[in-house]
Amino acid sequence: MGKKVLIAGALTALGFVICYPVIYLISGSFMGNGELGEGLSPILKNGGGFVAWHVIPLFPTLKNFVELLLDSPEFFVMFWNSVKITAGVLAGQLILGAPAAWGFAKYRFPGRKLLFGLYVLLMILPFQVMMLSQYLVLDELHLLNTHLGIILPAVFSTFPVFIMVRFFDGVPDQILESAKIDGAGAFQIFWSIGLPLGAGGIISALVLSFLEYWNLVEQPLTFLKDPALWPLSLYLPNIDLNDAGIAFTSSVVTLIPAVLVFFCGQEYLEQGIVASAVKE
Amino acid sequence: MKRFRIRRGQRAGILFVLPSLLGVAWFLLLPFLDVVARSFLGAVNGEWVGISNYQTIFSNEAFRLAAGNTVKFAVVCIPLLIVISLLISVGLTHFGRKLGFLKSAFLLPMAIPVASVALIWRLLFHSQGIVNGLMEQLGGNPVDWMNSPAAFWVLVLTYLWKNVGYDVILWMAGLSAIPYSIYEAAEVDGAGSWKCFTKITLPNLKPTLYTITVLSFLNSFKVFREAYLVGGAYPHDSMYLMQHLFNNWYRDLSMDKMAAAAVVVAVVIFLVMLCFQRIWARED
Amino acid sequence: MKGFGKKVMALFLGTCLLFGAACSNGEAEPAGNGGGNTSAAGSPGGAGTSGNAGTSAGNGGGGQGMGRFVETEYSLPDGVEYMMDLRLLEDGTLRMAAIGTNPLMLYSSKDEGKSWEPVEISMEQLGVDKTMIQSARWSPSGQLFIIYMNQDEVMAGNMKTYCLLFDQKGTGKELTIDLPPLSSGSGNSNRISDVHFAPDGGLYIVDVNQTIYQIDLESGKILKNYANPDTVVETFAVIGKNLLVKTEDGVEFYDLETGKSLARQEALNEYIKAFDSRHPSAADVSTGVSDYVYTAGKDGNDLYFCDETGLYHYTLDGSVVEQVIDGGLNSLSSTTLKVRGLIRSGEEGFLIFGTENSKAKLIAFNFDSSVPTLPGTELTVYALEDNTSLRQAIRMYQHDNPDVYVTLEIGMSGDDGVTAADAIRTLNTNLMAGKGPDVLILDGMTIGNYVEKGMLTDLSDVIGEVSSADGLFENLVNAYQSDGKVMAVPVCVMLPMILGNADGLGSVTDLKTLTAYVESLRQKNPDAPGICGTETVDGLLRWMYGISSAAWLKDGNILDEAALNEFFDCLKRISEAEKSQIPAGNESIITSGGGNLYLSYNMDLFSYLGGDSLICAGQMDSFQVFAVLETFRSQGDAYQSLNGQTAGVFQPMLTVGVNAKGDQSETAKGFVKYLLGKDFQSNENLGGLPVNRAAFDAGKKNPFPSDLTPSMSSMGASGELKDLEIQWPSENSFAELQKRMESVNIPADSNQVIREAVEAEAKNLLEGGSVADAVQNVIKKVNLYLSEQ
Repeated sequence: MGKKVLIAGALTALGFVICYPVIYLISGSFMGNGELGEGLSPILKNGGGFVAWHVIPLFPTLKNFVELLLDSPEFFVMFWNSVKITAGVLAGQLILGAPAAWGFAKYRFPGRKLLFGLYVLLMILPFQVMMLSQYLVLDELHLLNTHLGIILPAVFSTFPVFIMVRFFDGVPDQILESAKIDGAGAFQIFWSIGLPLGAGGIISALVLSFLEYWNLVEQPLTFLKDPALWPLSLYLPNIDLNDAGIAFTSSVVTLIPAVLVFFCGQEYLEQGIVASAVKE
Repeated sequence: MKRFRIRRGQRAGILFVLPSLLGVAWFLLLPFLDVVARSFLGAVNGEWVGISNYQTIFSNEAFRLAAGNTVKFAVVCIPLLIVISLLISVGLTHFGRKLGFLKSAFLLPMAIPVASVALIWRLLFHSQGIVNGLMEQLGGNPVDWMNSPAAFWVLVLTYLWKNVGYDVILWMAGLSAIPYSIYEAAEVDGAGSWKCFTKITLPNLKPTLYTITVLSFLNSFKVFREAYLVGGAYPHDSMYLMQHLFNNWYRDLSMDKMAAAAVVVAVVIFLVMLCFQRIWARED
Repeated sequence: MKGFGKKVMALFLGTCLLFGAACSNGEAEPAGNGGGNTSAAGSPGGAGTSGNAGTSAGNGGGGQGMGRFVETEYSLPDGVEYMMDLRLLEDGTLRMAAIGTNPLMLYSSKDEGKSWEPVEISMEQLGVDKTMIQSARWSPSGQLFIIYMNQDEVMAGNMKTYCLLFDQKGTGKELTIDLPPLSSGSGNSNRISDVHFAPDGGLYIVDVNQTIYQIDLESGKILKNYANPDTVVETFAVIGKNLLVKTEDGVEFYDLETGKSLARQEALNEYIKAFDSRHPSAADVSTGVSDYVYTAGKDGNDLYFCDETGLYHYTLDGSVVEQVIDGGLNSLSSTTLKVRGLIRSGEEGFLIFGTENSKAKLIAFNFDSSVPTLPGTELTVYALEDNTSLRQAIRMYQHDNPDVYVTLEIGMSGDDGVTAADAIRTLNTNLMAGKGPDVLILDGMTIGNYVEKGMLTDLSDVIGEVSSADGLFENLVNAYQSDGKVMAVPVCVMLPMILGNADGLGSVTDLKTLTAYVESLRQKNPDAPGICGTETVDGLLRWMYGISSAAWLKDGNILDEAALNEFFDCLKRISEAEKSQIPAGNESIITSGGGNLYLSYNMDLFSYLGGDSLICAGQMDSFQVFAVLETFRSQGDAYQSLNGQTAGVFQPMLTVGVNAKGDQSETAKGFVKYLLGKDFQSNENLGGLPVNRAAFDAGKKNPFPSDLTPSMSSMGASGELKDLEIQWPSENSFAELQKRMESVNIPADSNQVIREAVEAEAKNLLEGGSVADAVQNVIKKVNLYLSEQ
């Protein structure tokens, strides 16, 4: 019994330590400029000593939030841009990627292995490498400086396909066989069996995608000339500790939707995982 | 002689995959081929230069440093991440729903925007930051994190911190797929928990391991963003990765070198993935 | 249940965010946008393009559409220096009231402003002192309304205004208007601040109480008043049957009959808000228009107004503000024209009057349907940061080349978090994709990259042409010559100079000796407020960096550690001698990625004069500065070239290059030729010393009128006001300056990577770091950079 408690304790402690930085962000966003300046002075002004961070601000203030949410109209424009882009990407990945993953997982067709390998390869290439070339392609299609120019290439990202394939693999073939015997068409099988059973994977992929595209920086910076189109992630791409108040606050505000998605998605995630486990 | 005929089942598969394939071909493959083409051309004038770009980069010091670092990083991080997340997930599974909330805790770092991570990191790892403050209080000596080889470990820590959550979830997904009945049978046979672990758990986790390894490999490239925001375009040597190099070559209009290096990276990744496939021969 | 609780939290937070978003969505137009409904262009501070869709003159783009308002400048009668009023009368003739060699000059024109005849009025019998006339206004029927003050009263502090009314024959009478006393209750008298005539002849005035009155022309009695106690009337006009009142809240309209206000004109107000956000201070002198001037349209419920982006038309209760004239194609966008008034003339034309460089100007815009709407050729010019000299060049060039439409693109507008690194990445992408700008201003970029990689066209032919026509300082324009080709040319230059005590400066030959001298000065003058006059890292680096950086790269590829060491050591010692501390809150200098291009450091002569600094180090950027230096020398001080770790360095400014992949290279070269030509190089706001020899010679002429001796005065920390009468330098002095210009041949290094590394380490150094660390860090960073090449 003692061992169990020890392990439980260790795990909890680890979880706490991991979350700690977030606590800094949150507490920082409630601090007024004076307190922030004081706390950060060792870094900013070489004030000697070390940064001493009060986890609970001595003088909590909502000033930063007010300034950000109510006084900065461009913040909300960017917020909705982020929503638009992310929603577009997720929808597209679902509609186009899920069937593709199903196809890769459940069907044997010539070139399948090669194509899938290609997918994996394309997944890993860093953006810098493809930046200019993608720019040229988007230019041909007149998609530069539009949200679609960010959404479309993202929709075809091979990463979600990869994850979904792994989960679709876990759908037992017997069920498919019996469905086929019952006369169900390929699409019907996908729709009524594949999707529900692979839901865990789909949700995982979408959650990961959400995080990726909610925080996307390089593509909007390069492909979107007009600041009115920029997503939230570009609000402070280079956070200067001098503007610490706003930096913390906007971090927290940007963080919130992602956390929300997490919490909501987690339920489905776990359900999906449990569901696929029970299948045995 | 085998007749090459697309069976009905195959046709459905192709149809499922087709829309995605088209998009991928256009938006991802095409640019990549352009990159490959550029690796054989001069940067601006587009003249054919054969393999001279490749020769240039292999003798380029920055390239060697970045490549070395990137490899070192992958080799260090990935196993670390895999093992740590596995241990955590085994622990968590033991406790079932009681410690379920911890999953959220581990996942949280993934949700934090990159710029915020950079902010926090500066707070923590500045030579007068919080970590050094703690160390001094505990009687140790402050370390210049960002300007010494310790920078590498800061990077590793960033990577682990961000990715442990998702890997834990994936492990747990894999773990829960192992039917409890097998464990029961083993217990009846008198197997101890370590034996259960090595003989039952691990083998059944192979497919999950494959997924996690690939994902971890992928994410090891993403750590560049935080590194860039904290260390700038020219961080300490130990933190200097391939992507720093790409970034800088782009700024200096050295498209030729960049393309050649990109192709090299792609080839290496391809080979690595081939290895992975061999080791975890997927059931077909 | 935990899961449930989480869900509730999630929903709650989500709703809060959505609610907040919805609330401020009404305001959700990002800065730099002219407002949702307008067809106007973005702000010049931002993307810099002017001229956009929706012109009623037709917008075919690129020459397909025909018809454009063409600008003509009309000459004014001799002696007119400042126009007070311009009016279109009911009979179609124009009237002008002006000030100049006479305190009141009146004219009439029958040909829409091309020529003017004097109009006489009899003022003598009224015994009014013409020099005390504040304002004159013509009525639509030809009457003249004059406001004047009494000299004795003004001397006593009483600013009471008196009025005169002259009829069409020129006979005048005193008009007494009894204004209510000041609502502030002070003893001063109320007076008239502004006057406008309505199209139907009614007279409207506004007083210090911010009340607008309609005055009966016969009796001077107040007929009606429109008072809104809380607002300050910035300007007002009569538009048809309505009164337009502009306050800090925007524009409101009131029905003249009933005095009721009309529905708020959203589209117009949005446009004006955008304008106000571009010009936060009414005294914004970087653009011509400090506030809108309005004039009524033909129909009685529409109006016209203009700003630096063009001339606009708006109909009351309409939803659009239409652009009628594109400011980018004419003087409206000039940075030196100050528009005072706008009226319609003729059927479709407009007349604008104002001042440019202290001279009165009358400009007519008439529609010419034979001219293409937009010039056939479009030229894009790119610069990392906004630059008024460049804007002036563009305007002047367009004036001379009406068939070319120049768009200025600014990489970092300053208000959207874009760093230099981001801007350059975007620029490079555009350039490589073949969509880049035609002309590049390379200030703030690593010029070597663009030259070596073949991104720029050879400009030797352009240089040759200007050289044979006007002569150029070859050592300056060929500074970036490589392989016999010149691909980047500085348009003007600044020379590093140091001014100080003659005896002391004799020992200063390079950075080391300068540092020793500064230290000795501090020893001898422990209480002096400053030595070189700059305290900040930014300031010090600005003049020290350029003159030293050339010494650091040996053979172009290896850093000279000793030289770097010396630099940082001197930097630290000078800053310590200066008692340099980074003042609290002044860390704008170093941000990752930079944003402050700092190339230049103008000499702070005022500090030196006022005694706040004992030497003056910086860069000479104009003949005026040269004159001041010469004046100091004639009084016993000395000045000489400021040599850092290298001698013979100059600071290139507005270095220009032509995109080799662009498709307008002939036109682009034409623009470069204009930049190097005498016309542009002779203008007084060039931003540096001209590289064009003819312009240099022209600059030798004393620009100040012979009866005016320019002087400068400065009060330093000591509280004593010091004056200096500036003597214009002699021929000999100019000959010396010319020799100086011919003797420098090293352009200050433009490598941004090295600069950023040094900048960051300099900051650490001056905050208490060590020289050794600074040097090592710079070396590590730069070596990494060099190993990438």
